[in-house]
Amino acid sequence: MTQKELLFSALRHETTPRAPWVPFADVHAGKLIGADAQQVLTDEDTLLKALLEVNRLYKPDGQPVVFDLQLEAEILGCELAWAADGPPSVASHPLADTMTVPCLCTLPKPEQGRLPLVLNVMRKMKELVGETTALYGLICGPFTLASHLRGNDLFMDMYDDEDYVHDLLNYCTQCGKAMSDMFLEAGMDVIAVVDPLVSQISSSHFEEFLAEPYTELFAHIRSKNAFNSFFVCGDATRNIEVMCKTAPDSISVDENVDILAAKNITDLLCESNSCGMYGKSWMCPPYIGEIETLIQQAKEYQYILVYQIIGQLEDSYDFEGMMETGKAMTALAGAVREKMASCFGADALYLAAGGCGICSRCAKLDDQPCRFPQKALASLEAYGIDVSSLAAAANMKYINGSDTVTYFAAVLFHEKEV
Amino acid sequence: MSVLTEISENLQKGKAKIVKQLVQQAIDEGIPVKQILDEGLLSGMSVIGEKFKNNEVFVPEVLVAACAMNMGAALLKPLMAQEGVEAAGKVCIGTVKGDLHDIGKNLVKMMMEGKGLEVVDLGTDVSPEAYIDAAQNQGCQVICCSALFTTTMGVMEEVVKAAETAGIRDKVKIMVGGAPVTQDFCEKIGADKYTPDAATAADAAVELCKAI
Ligand code: B12
Repeated sequence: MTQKELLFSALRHETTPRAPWVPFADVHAGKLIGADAQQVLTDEDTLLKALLEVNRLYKPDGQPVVFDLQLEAEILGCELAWAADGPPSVASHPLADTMTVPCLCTLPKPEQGRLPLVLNVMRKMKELVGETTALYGLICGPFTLASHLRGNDLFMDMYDDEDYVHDLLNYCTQCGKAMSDMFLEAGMDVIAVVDPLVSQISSSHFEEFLAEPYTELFAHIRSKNAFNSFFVCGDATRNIEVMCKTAPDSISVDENVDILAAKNITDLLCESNSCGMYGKSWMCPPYIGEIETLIQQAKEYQYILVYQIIGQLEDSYDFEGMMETGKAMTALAGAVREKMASCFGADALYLAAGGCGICSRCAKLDDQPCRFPQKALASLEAYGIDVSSLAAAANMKYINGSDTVTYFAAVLFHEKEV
Repeated sequence: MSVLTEISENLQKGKAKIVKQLVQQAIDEGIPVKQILDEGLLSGMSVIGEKFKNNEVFVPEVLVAACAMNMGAALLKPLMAQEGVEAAGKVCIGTVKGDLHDIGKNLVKMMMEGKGLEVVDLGTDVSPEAYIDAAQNQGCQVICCSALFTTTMGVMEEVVKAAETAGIRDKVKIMVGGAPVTQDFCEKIGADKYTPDAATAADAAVELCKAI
């Protein structure tokens, strides 16, 4: 598995041998070669040179190409104020005094503003490092873009003229789609939608104004067979859940977010279809049943037998090795269920790792009943079990050395007959 | 419910028009102007300020409330002048050069106006010279600098130096704030006052003006 594939695997929410690494070098990239922010963001050769230096130095699994939230705004008529130490800022808001929504014919085109420069660098990066490094194209999120265009009055509009805000956000969403299309065509693997302002509003405002635009945007990016990420700056802890519900492939946060609180939410959110299995199998949500009911069911058992499989990998990128171990786990869990059924009683619950895996294509996809109800396996996670806590409780190791991968499975049962 | 409580509650919901009507009603009922301001507008705003600090309400909620406060306060202003209630002081505020984050600065400004200060808004991307100019030529007693970047915080030190060079350091007070700014930083650069949020910033500015 290449470095890039390791990141893709994480974006598909598969278990990876290690966490992928995406150093967020934007104008800092310039610092590495002695160039200032304005030079990096306005000169093609400087930008490319800086990004290649980042790639050489940090050996990233994924790398953003340009982080300038003002790229679209500049094309759409905002004046920019340039600085040596940071990206430019928006200095004027074209819609500040006119409550209008621009015509869709004004959406950015590849020859406008600094797009020719950015698109060229994207193509060159793809050619030079794209084989091994996943490339991120960053677009300005609809809410921040709307505030660039309208200014801070946008916040007041959310109270005084909701319809206007919806219309303006729709325009900005279409802008996001147009930008994504251009970036994908230039070879980007992941589109990151960056919206710092999301940290400044309540969850109910998010649901009222941003849930739809974001769902639409992420679905669009996915329909182009690309990955996406929802970037937010500032303390957006309370909004992580509503952000997840717009179904991005991943969420990117900064140090202001309470990472443990956020993880609790993302762990539970099967609906965000992070593993890609939501709605694809009888043994996965939503068909497996309500999470609360499943947790309750699991809690009714008195005993649990936990077992694990440790797979040896060639290196930390050995994706095939990981898949092999996954298959071995499914086979072992199947054998436990078939050969040891008499030990656990008829009402035992057999849980394995990462969904069912008995059939290569679940009958559910063809609207047919389960082919092997006696063999079908749900995952520990589907029943709300936190596998790393379970491992600790069972006195087993979750991580078993470098270049290994460990899967867990369990049988829950009543009478202690083993 | 007394009209003052009604003012406070509607302000918290950001109902600017109703707040304006109620303030007019209170004036007509003969309630002293200072009391309308303190027990109606400012009491409502301090509830919002507190909730904002505790992460219970967010920027849009605070902005609409502050807007309602300012609409009410606009009715009181001419009366205060008549009654001889003087402005609490005059300050200028701006986001420093290279920085255009102005949400926090605007909140601070609105809170200061609510507390009866006259505020000159220098906008964003403000050079040290522009602050000094406002102090020298518009009679601002306090210079307030906001910065949201670790890279633009340094400009605040330049403002302090520029005040020294201009020979007005003993005549003006300099306040600093914004997410990355700390008490330590304030002391290090030789500024006079740091506070972490808009409500305390407004109180502190009033105090500084009194002291001058
Ligand atoms: C909203 C926001 C934006 C908005 C700004 C909209 C606007 N008109 O202001 C937008 C989307 C435009 C934006 C753009 C950018 N941003 Co920004 N942004 C933020 C964010 C998420 C919140 C800031 C905010 O408004 N908070 C709400 C207000 C109410 O809080 P506040 O400003 O702190 O103010 C309060 C107090 O500090 C105090 N206060 C404020 N001023 C003063 C003054 C005085 C005198 C006193 C006493 C008190 C005081 O009272 C206020 C109310 O209680 C922060 C994250 C963060 N943690 O702060 C990043 C953040 C500041 N941004 C950041 C960056 C990098 C950028 C960009 C460069 C991104 C890019 N690559 O393009 C651009 C460039 C902008 C520029 N050149 O100026 C970084 C800065 C990193 C650094 N090392 O400095 C941050 C920290 C995010 C991050 N973690 O990366 N951003």
